Amino acid sequence: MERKMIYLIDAALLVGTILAISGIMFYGGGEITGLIVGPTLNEPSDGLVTTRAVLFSIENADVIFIDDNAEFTSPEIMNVHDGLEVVLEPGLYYWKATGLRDSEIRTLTIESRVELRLRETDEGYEVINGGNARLNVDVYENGVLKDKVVIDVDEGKILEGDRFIGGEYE
Amino acid sequence: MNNLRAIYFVLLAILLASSVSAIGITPGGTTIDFEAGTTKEIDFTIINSEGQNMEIIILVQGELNQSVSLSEVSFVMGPEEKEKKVRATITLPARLEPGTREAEIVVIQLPTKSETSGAFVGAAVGVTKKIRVNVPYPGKYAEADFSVIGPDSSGEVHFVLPVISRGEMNLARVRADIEIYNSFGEVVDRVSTAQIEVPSGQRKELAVKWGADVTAGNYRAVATLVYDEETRKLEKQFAVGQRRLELKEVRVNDFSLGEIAKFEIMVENSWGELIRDAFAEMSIYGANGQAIAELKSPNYDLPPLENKLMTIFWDTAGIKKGVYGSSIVLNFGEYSEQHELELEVSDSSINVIGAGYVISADSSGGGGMSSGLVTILVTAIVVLLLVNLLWFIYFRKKFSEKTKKRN
Repeated sequence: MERKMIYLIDAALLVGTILAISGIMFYGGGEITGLIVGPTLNEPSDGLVTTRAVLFSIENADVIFIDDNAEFTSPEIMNVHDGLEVVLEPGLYYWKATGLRDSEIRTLTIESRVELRLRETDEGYEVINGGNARLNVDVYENGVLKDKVVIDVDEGKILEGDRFIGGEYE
Repeated sequence: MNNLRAIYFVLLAILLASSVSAIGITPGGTTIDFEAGTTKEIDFTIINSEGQNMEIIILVQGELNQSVSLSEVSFVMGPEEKEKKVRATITLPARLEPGTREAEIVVIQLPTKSETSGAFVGAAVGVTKKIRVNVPYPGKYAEADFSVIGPDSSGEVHFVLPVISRGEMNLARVRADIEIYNSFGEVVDRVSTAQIEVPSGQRKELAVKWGADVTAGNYRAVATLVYDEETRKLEKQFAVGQRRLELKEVRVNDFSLGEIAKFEIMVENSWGELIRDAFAEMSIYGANGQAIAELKSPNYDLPPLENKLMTIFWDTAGIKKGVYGSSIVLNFGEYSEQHELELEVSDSSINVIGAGYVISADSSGGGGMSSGLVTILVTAIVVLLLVNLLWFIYFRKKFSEKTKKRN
């Protein structure tokens, strides 16, 4: 009878230990849960708004997922390494890191920066897209719309006119 | 005197070339949802990236220009003023036509003298910021796009349909049925996405993966977006695999040294469509690496997924027995792919040895550290369990002895 009780206590303790370890592994909250170390997201901060490339600083993760929807249905997947800098098109993005566990989901926003540079040359004006978005450039001469040109990021085109107005490409 | 004039013109050209005018604005666009009769403030920043003296004027144009007012309409920015914040206030009318209605803020830098060179930039440069107002359609309305991504490294094609509910009512049941057609217009497969709900004004994505277990070639995906009682068709072209030729075999039959050797080059078109005007070029190198023969086959049309024998003739008069380096280049259109070979030339045969083919196993890393850590953790758990077990065996023995003594 006593022996049976000892067995029962033993069994209960063993099962309890297994359940506790499983619980720590799979259902624990926080960044570090027992034996499993979850990703630590250092940079960028949640809700970052920028016009530039984004620097990621993450520990205990193998890859990051970046997508324009929180369900990550069509993510960009990148291997995590020191100094990982990602250039993204303007828009709202969701991102998370994955190692042994998934991190929380954070958002970041790349705001468009429309920037035109004008350099006078012998052939006309070199119009350079110095921003982070593809541009539609309207070319005017004597107040009349003469041409519409598409200029990619960091691209320059020689154009003739006396007024150049750039806006986001649509 | 002439030299001085030349120097003057060169200097003037340099000054003119270095005269730069620049202006920026961020964000370049802002989208708001229509709410009748409300007023919204939208801040934006004008950027003086060149650190110049800038004379700025701001205009509002577009359909909603009467609804937008600005905190400032003209000002001067000095070289030290890298950016300036301006506020636009939009007062939405009681009613607008459904769809996207717009106002455009135009910021113009008037022609000015460059601070650095003193040269005059005789043109105005400007940037625009769009304010878009989304006005919901009556009832249900889905705005959708269709993207085909891949095939990825595992050969799967991802079909993605972002759906925005632009109507006043929620879209309760939204899904997409996708048919995949080959270049002959035959349906090769069908897939469907899961069914989702898209609340009014929100954006969601429908996505499904397709195994792409088909021959390489061009395909067309036709997606039928089904939202509640309505449907819409979207389609996209995409390619599976590469348009390429595979070198299957090179052999020479009935050869005698000093005669003309006939190289038979078996080539496979692994693309699911006809490849026209393909040909092979062959170079044979002497001991010093110099080409001793440059040969070319006729042009061939290769039917999809079929083999074709290309022939090249080499006059071996004056050629000695030995091993010669060689290369075969398969060409069509812009495509060309080179294969390195060796030719063992004897009195009665040419043995073609393939060289330079290195097939490496995929050694994708990612996750090595993770699996190592998992092993450590599993080991730790097993050790813990064993210690636990041993401890309780000891405890149980002690407990039994105590009970016996008590009895």
